Amino acid sequence: MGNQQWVLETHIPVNNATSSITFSNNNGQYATNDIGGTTIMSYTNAPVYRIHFKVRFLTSANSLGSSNFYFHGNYSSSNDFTYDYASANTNTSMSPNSAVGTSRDYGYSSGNQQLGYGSMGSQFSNHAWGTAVNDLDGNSVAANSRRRGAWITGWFENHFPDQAGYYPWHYQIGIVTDQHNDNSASAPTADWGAWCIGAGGCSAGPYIDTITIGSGYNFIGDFFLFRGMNGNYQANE
Amino acid sequence: MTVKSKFYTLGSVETSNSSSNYLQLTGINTDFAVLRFVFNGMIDHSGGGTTNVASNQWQQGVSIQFQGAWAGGPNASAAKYRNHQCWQAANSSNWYHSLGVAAHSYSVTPYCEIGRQYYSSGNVDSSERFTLEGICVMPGNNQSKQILWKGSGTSPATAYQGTSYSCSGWAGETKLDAQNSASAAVAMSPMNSIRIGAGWDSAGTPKTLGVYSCLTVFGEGWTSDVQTGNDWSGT
Repeated sequence: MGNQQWVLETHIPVNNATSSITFSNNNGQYATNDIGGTTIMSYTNAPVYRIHFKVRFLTSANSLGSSNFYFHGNYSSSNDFTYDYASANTNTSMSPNSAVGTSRDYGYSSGNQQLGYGSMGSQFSNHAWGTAVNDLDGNSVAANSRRRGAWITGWFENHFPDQAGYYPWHYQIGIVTDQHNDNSASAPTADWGAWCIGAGGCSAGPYIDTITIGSGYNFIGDFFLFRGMNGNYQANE
Repeated sequence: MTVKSKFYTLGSVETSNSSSNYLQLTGINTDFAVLRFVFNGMIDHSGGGTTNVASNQWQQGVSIQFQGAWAGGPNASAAKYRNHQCWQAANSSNWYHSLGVAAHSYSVTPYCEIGRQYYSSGNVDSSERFTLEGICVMPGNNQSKQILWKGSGTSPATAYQGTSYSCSGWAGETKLDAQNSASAAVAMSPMNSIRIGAGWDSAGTPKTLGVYSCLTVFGEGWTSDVQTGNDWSGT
């Protein structure tokens, strides 16, 4: 198989609702090559932190509030951030192909980096206009099943070549929902979704041996931490 | 729970001329934590006489379809998409965004659409190429799938570089409608195919991709913990 530079370090499946998850001991784990040699995933050896996730907030709130979706590294203080966003809170309804602008949020010396205005709950008011359907395996799936709900997809990324960079994170999340029946959706669409793109960092100490992602609301989902290394230290499994 | 560092290029296809309407990958292995789709190339807005695209105006980006939900595809009747597209241009302050696609007034559409370029006249290979990258998390599980996109397009012609017509950033989300009875079952099925095309002109004629446009899909990471069957059938 050969060796390559990417590692899937951790998967945190959240099948039971929680309000916070933490990737821990990020820099103490090892990559293993195809002859069993190991390389610790230190800041120097594995400078790229890439988090991909899908998440579903168990609330009907069409905007979570900025601090109700956040993340931070080792320090929950002195975090700075800014992001452009839109949600069903700022654009209460949207008409197809009618462009609208985004808003901006930012914070200085905050306890965390935030993106809640670009998020929304998946138990939105117009959810479940459909009826039960059979999936391709023949299972009946209710309209309000978690299997059919709208999910936020997210991407946080950090390049950490040294420990002097205070502002290494950039992030993007988005969700588009299933509002209005087919053929009746030319009218403005409520609870259409949410989105943001932003960046930030922590000036108290940019250490990310632990990374915590949390919310004021409970959520379910799947969270993956990938590491990009500065050499081909990991066997392709 | 076990994870593996499993990374593969799962498929790649490229145009060899400027007469292809789309690039397509099918039978994609979805046994990965994440699928990454990367398109780079251009839309031949001049169309070689096949389109009625006017010069000196904004044009839409690529069309996107997946899970076999396209005309002639195995799930053609499931082509009920939800689309949210965003763009950042030099003549606007923050980002702009909209639902649906330009050619349809409904928010349930037969395809998705991401990207926006200013077309001056003719096509300039060196300045109209763009990149679009999307991720699908848990492409093989039993839940509705979504692809999160970001990308960038360059200025369409030298004369417009650095002016208000430049366009830089694109983003968006695409999915099959998981409530519509025609698409819900397919929306929950694996993300095992994708078609990225040049879109259609206002008369409904398919546009063409430029030569050496390329679509690649990567599989990234593996986990033993994947929701399958009818897990989570309740709320």
